[in-house]
Amino acid sequence: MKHKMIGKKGFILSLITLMLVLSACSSSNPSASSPVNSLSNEEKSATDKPNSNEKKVITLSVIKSTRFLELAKEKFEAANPTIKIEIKPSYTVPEVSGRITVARGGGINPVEVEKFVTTVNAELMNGNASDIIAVDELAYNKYAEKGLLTNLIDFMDKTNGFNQDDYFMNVLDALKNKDGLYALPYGVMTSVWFGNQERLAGLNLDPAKAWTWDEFEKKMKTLANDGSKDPLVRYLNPDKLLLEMVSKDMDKFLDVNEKKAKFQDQAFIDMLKQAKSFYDLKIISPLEQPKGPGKAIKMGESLGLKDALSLSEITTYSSLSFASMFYDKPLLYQAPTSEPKDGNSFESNMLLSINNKSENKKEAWSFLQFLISEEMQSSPELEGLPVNKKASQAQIDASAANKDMKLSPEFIEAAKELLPQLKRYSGLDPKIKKILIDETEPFFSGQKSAETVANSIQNKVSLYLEE
Amino acid sequence: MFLGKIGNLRRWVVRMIRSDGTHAAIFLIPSLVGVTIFFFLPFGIGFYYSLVDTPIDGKFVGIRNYVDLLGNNSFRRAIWNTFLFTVLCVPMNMLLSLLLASLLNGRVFGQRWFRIAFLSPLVIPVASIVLIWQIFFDLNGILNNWMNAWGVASKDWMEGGSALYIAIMIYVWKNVGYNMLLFLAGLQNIPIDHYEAARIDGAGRWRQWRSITLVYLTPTTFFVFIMSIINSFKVFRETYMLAGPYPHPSLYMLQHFMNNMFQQLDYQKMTSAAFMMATVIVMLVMILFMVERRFSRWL
Repeated sequence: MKHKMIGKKGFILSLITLMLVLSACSSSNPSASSPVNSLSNEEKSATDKPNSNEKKVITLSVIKSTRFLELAKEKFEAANPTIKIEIKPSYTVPEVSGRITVARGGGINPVEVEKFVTTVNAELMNGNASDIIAVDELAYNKYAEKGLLTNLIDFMDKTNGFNQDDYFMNVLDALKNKDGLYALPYGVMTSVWFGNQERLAGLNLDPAKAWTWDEFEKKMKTLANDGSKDPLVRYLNPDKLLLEMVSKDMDKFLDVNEKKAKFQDQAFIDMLKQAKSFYDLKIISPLEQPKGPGKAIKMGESLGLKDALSLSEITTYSSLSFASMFYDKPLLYQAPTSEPKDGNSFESNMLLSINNKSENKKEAWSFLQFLISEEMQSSPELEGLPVNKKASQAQIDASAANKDMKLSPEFIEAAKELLPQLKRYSGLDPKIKKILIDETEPFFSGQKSAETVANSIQNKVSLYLEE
Repeated sequence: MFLGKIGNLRRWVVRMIRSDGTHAAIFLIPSLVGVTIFFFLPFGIGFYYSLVDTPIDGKFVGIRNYVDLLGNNSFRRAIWNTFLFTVLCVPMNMLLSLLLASLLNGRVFGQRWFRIAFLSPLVIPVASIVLIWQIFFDLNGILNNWMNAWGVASKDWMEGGSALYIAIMIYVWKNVGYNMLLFLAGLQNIPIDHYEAARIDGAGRWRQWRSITLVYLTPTTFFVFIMSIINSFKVFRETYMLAGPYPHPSLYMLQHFMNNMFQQLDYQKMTSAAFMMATVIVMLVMILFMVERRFSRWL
């Protein structure tokens, strides 16, 4: 009898232990973050204290610092002796190897990104996040809805030094979430096509006019039948083509505000099939390995490539010079979309937000404003096309004047229209981008049907959006 | 009179200090502090987060987060999947482990090695095993290679109805050894005299198993049942490593939801989901416990 009692007691005890374990399970996440918090807290107070008496410290959290930011910090500190800018990269390039681990898709290693996200999240929760945060890897729209980020529009209206006419407001307007602007790009990128006039001249194709993928396909087919053996479109891998197609038509497949994905639609399935057909029909074919030793060329020299079109990421105005390196007679063509659209879309490689809890919002904004000032935007270190009109004008004029770049007046005219035409933000959420790339791989390799792939993308993206 | 009362009080205090309970309490303090700091405190803070609207300077919104959560499609899918998984897995796991325990209870050839073999999933690091599964079930993996060799078309195992069965298989593989051990211990506690007595009374094997083995195994069975339910929630780790944060919809469990919410800094949804889950499990355990008590009294 006694034995049984003890057994029962043991049972009760084990049950209690179980419940404790259970309660620990379900709340382990907040506790897991607390050590990180306290640590960064200590670090922060340790670095803050010596300066806090004399200078205001503006902190800036980024995954990886850039030369543009370092330069801006230097210049800004020189101009404002009372403010110190502290750039806090979560990832520092190891000095020995000197190169960044670049993952597929061109981003930084996902592990580093995750580390950055966790750190920023922990700091935000603890109330001691940096004043300025790079948010392009964060689901910043969700953060903005939670009131964690400052609405930058308030500063743009009030600050007397901010004149909207100085900037490409079309770019900033495209980034608005409802009526607020929570993230500021200091440089933007867009993709266009370099066209080879020697091949395209007879096709009756107006470079300035918006065109569709169907027209693209038709024109390329016509070109394929002209008897020459030259390649049609310069090779780009399927991932890249698909992301280009999806991001240019993002509004068609994603409704972020309504939290709806439409990847199951026939339109997306058709798009997938069309993308694959470009490869099957040899409209896009792999590069042939050059015979003999390759030759190095200087700026201004032309490779005299024979392809008709090549997709090009315009990250700075100087990347336009690739056009004249590729072709003897280059022209700038609009990017095709599934149906004719007004304006082009853009991405940014860094979006900066101001922490809503920051005590130095004004100073933080003055630094952001400095980043988009004419002085900084004219810097050769700028990663992206400038959002400042004067700086943009100056750079185009410089490109036109640069005889080495060999750009025709027509080409320059088209380049001038690049920035004013940016009307849609096409930066895909990093999670959705990853789902798209991973899921379509078996489709392009012919192992799955377009319908299956579209279905599984739809399922995953919906899970993500509806969460 | 008054002095007498003080004397009483003093004697009472001394008795309290010298009592076992006090000693136990003193020895318990370190672990209680640990439990409070790492379990109860975060639990309380988590509860606070589930009642406000934003994590920083939030306003009190009562149960709105919980109401919102119940309307969330992904959450409902996660609940249904977790429920389905538990309902499918737990009975299967228990039956299988009981069967194995019964087989290994008697004198069997290589008994010791079999026991070790069934326990090995507990000690092998999950990450290394997941790697093998990934290679096995991948679209270009071993299984599809075999199927191609037999002339069957490849299939993406992790992206379809089969994904759930793979998860169930992993769960059973991982947990059957542990439960088998518990059942074995239970089986070995049954006095042999009972069987002998029953045999003398002319009971057959089936009758012996039903009236002696099963009855004596009841406490063990309850324990195994609860452990299986809890372990069924833990299969998240394997599925997460195998299929990532956004797996096939049939594999999307509650923990996927919570993990993703944590990544997106949505503490409101995360903590309210965690509390709902904890409440349900605690209630379930309480009910089971009550049933067990009734049952043993009836015994």
